[in-house]
Order: sequence, then structure tokens, then C-alpha cells
Amino acid sequence: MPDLFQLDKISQAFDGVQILDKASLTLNRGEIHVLAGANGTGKTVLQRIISGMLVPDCGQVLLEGEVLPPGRPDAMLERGIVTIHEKIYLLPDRTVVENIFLGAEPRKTLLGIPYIDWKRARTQTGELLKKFGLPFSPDTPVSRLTVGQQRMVEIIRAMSVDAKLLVVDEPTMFLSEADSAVFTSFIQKAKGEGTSFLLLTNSMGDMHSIADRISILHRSAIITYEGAEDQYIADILEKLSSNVAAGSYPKLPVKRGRVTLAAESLCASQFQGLSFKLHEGEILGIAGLPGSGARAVGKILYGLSHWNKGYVEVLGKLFVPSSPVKAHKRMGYVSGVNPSDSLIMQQNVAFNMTLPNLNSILHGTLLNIAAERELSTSLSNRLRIGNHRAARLGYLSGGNLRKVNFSRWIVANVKILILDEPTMGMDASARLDIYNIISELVLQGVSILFISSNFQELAGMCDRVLVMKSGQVVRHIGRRRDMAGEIWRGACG
Amino acid sequence: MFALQRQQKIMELLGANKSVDVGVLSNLFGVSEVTIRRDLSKLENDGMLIKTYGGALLREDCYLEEEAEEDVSSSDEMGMVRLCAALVEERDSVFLGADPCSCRIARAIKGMPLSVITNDISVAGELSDAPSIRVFLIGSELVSGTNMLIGGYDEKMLSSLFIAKSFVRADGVDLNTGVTLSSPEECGIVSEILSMSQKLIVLARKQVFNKTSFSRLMKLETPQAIVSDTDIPKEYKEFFFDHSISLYTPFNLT
Repeated sequence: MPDLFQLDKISQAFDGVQILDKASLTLNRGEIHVLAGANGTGKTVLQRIISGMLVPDCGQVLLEGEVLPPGRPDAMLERGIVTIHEKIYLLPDRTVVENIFLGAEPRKTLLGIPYIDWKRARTQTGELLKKFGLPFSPDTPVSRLTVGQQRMVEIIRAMSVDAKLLVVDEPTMFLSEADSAVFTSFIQKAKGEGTSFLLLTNSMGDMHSIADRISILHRSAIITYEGAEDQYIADILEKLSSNVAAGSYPKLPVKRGRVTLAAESLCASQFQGLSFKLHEGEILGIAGLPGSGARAVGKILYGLSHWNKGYVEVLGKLFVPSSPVKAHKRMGYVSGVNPSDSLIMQQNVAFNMTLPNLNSILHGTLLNIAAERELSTSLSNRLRIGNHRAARLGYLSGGNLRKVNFSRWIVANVKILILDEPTMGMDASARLDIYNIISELVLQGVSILFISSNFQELAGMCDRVLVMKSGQVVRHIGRRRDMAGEIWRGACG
Repeated sequence: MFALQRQQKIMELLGANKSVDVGVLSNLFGVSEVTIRRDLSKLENDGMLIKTYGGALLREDCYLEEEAEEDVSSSDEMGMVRLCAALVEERDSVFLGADPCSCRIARAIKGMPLSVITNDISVAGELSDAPSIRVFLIGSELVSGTNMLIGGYDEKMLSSLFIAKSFVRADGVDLNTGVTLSSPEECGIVSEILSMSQKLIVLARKQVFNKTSFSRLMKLETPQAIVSDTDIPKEYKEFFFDHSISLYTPFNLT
């Protein structure tokens, strides 16, 4: 019996650069196979070849032993290979059932006139949603679902046309912790229904827990490990980080000053016994996979949630936040996952930038519009934010939105900045801007608490990293060779 | 002399005179006109000059005039200075190449205990009263209109030094041609230094991107870090990130 899916010696070159060189992979029926590859190593090229959008220079793609015609996305779909991209391809104004049955609506005829049998569609959808334990109804408009739920709807749509193999690009990117966990268990259930998965990613994330086998796209070839044991994963991570090594990050050696933020035996529902001291000019990382409690630390310190035991000192004084509004005025918070945690999305750039520090633009009790305009224009220029200051935040690109978020804390002149996945979803160019802004802040003596699940980023930018797992701090790592690998071993080992 | 030397000499003459004549060059070097034409063809292919009837003209857009370096204390320059100074740590041994802001970088690091090697006389001047810094000046000929010394360095002395960080100016930064400098002699002295440096840091102002100057200093993937004065083209940011090269770009927060 042939393998379900095979990539046979795929080679592809662009402009004389050999991106893929006889890359080969096999996938078995009912397997969840994770293919990891750093950005820029040819993962996207491979994905385009598999989906039929690109004809490879050499090599073939086989499904159940049969060679698939290259450059024919329709043929791929017909044979049962469905590709799910990073961007969600659903119609946001339509409901779940409408999206799932798009183009394949069940039809009936009444007196010779054909019509769509929505009742049957709805029933089938309802059954599928129930089988996977999804808490929404078929009539929910897709725009009301979380990103993770939208992803799952896309997958259900593929399964409803009996997809044999689902190729998913960056499945858990943009997902919150909760969604990520639901999503991975959803994929396992789908596997139980007979669908096989090829998951493409640039960082393991929590996919290691559901992978049957893992491969890495490294130096134009694919290396497959027969399993998903920890030692294979550590190996993959080392290879991933050797591509985008700590050298890629603009780290500055900064002398640290006195302690600005200290936590002692802090306990909350998501973590226990957290203690640390953060200094002026220091970048302290908190590393953790979804579920480790790392992200909760940021939210709790900023006051978005409560802690039960222990204490926190800000700038030497005991700190008890009662609400986010009363968050310490020397502390700021930037979230890459939920920007609306600290931004007013319906308002414009100028409004958001000056919000935390209205004193700078007040004229008695009245708002000095000219001062607001001058301050926001000046800061926009200096941070190189593309959009006009009058633009509503909803119109900004991810990178510019993040810069506006940083700018408000610069205006507020905070001494401590808590970052929660600050570069999530951003491309290399935009991320470099953010890293350089962080470096400038640190040069000015600001303390940074850098919470992230991107271990290369933490290894690149942080002076020290606390590694969390299941609510506990398991490691405390200083700058060293293979720091990203060490962080990984702590976070999942 | 070899073809390469002859071609370099032709570029020097072009730099001085802006145009050259095939007949004159043929007499000067004692080779046939055919040979000269071949040299000019090669240099034209490399983007260094434009052939004309009977000779060649300098390609102005790749030659960055030394005179064009004004003493501009713009905030972009200060950003570059700030980042370079921040990269220097106590007890480092650093090489500061010739650059308009080298002198300001020197001023910013004056207080630290360091060894500084330089071929820029303004840097040496700036550091002459710094009590904690050992200053080594290399090079012997002062290039007219600049603060830069070239030629005549003591190889034995150099080889005894260990240089932790080298800050080198770029006159051209290009994805195809790499890091280039306008003066072949400067290239010579800087290459010597770089071969003994642990960390290469290239000072690349925005205006030098996508430009190619005369002399190839190094491939674009060679340096460990780049310091720019302001935002640079996206494709370069991606290149540096993908090749483990730290890109430092200033943001003026205050």
C-alpha cells in the first residue's frame, strides 16, 4: 500500500539561488506531520508547489502513489489536497453554514425548480460542529468567531468535501492560548475522522504535543525524524535558530541600574511562586508556551487580572493595582495579541498617543489641539509611523499599530514597559523596527519585561530569561550560546 | 603591470580628471589601444564608467565625492553616533575608521578605558586628552580634503593588536556588489584591519544603499552588524535579518 502523500525530490531555484534541492517527504494515512522551517527557507515555495500554484523545476508530488499534474490547483483540490493559508479565506459577512457549503450547496427541486436545501446544510453543519465540540451554531456570522474558531471552520469546510490531506500554513499563529489548546485538540479529533495533516510552521509552538512525526526544511532539503520525541524537537529548534540566530537581533550592551520592578512569591490562578527583580536598562524575558502562565504574568502585573498572594514593588514602593485604569502610571503595556487591551481602536493616532499623558497637551482644563497635533506629528515622524495622525487605528498596518502603542508609553514617559508578544504577526522588517525602538528605550533607562513564545526573539533581545512551564518558573537563563535551545528545553522538557 | 592594477590606475585618473582618452592611456601604460579598450569595457560592465568615442567618462552617480561630506549635526547622524557609542564596552579595543561621525563617536566614548586604533586624524585629535584611552594612529599619507590617512602602516605592529570591534564607513551598500568604498587605498588599509577584527560593524547611511563605489571591501553577508542613520530599504532589512546580521537603526524618542 503506497504512502498517502509523497514529495519526491522537489527542486526549485529562483534567480540562480537553489531554494529547494531534491526535497523529499512522505506522509502516512492518518498522520499529523509537522514540517518546521525558518522564515525565508523555502516553506512558502514548498506550500505553493503542493497546492499546485507553482510548477517545480524538478520533482513530483504524489497522492496515493499517483503523480499529480503540476501547476493545477484545481486538480489538487479535486484529488483531495486542501491548502489552508495563514490568511483566513472565509466570507466574513456570511454564516458558518454558508461558508462551509460555499459552491457545494445541497440542492433539491420543487416542481422542477432547483433550490438550495439550507435545512440539510444546516443539519449537517450542526452535526459536524457538535462532533468537534465547537460551541457556536451554524448560523453564526463568521466575523463573530475568534481567529481560532475561523480556522477550525476552514478545516471543517475542507473535511466536508472529504479532503484526504490538509496542508495548513502556520496553524497556531495569531491564536490566543485558549484557542491554541482547543485548536490542537480539534486537529487530533479531525485525524480520528480520517484526515491527515501536514502542518507548516516556523516555530514549534505547542504542535509538538500532537505531531506524529516531525521534519525540518533546512538548507534546501527536508530531514524527517521518526517520531516527535523531545530530543528530536530540541534538534529541530537548534537548526531553526541557526538560520535566524541571535545575531539577527539589534542587542545593545546596557549597564543596568537600580531595581524598578520586583515581585516576591507572587501567586495567581495561572502561576505560583513567581519572584524576580527587574532593573533600569534591563530586558528580562519571560518565556513560555501557551498554558505556561507566562502571558498571565504580564496581565496581572499590569492590573488586568488579580493576584492572590505575594507582593509587587514598583520603583521601591509596594504596589496594589485595583484596576487597569489605576495601573501604576510609571508602567506601560503593549500587547501584540490583543492590541485593544491598551488602545482605543475607534479613535485616531493622535488621540491614542496622547491619552496617557494629557497633562502635556492641556491648557488649563481645555485640550490644546495644536499641541496634540504637534506632539503626535513629531512622534509619528520620529518613529516612522506611516499613517496620518488623523487616521483611525483600524486603518493602520500591524507594524504601525504596534508603533502607536509604543508611542503612547513614550509620551507617558514610563519607567517600566511590559511587552506581551510584541512582534506577533509582523514581518522581519517591521519586527526590526520594534526591536530597535526597544533598544532605544533601554538606552534611556527604561526597564522591559519581555513576554513571548518566540524563543529566538527572546534569546536575541533579552539579558536574562525566566522560563515558565505549567505555572512555575523552571529555569533562569543568562546570555549564552544556544540560548534559544536552552529556553526550549526548559519550556517543554 | 597586471590588468587589474592598470584598471585601478585608470579609475584613479578618472577620479582626478573626470575623463580619459584611449590614446593617452595607451602611451602612458605602454600597451596597445586594443588593450585599453578592453580595460574600459570591463570597467563599464562593472558600472564604473561610461565609454565614449575615444575614451571614457566617470560615472558620477557611483562616485561619492569626499567634499560632499558636510559637517551636518542632524539628528539622524546623532542617532548613528549614539548607537555606535552604545556598542562600545569598557576595556574594548576598537578600530574607528574614517567617517564624518567618527570624531563624535570618539567624543562619546572618551570616558571609558579603551584601546582605540584609527586612521582618522580628527579621532586622534579628539582622544589626545582622554586619560583612560590608548590611541594608535595608523597610515601615513593624508588624503587631501579629508581627515583620512592611507598607506604606510606597520604590518608587524598591526598583527600584534587584537581588535574586538571595527567601525567602518561604507560608500556603497548593494545586494549584488556588497560593501564598497570610494578609495582603493582606503580599502587596502581597512581590509588589513578587518582581517584582525572580531566584530565588523559597518556604518551605512541611507544614501549609500543601492549604490556601488569603486573598491570592493567585503560581501554583504560578511559584517556582524550594520548601523544606519535612518530607515533603510525593506529588502535590505530582510537580508540582514535572514543572514544573522544585527541591524541597528536609530529612533529618536525624545
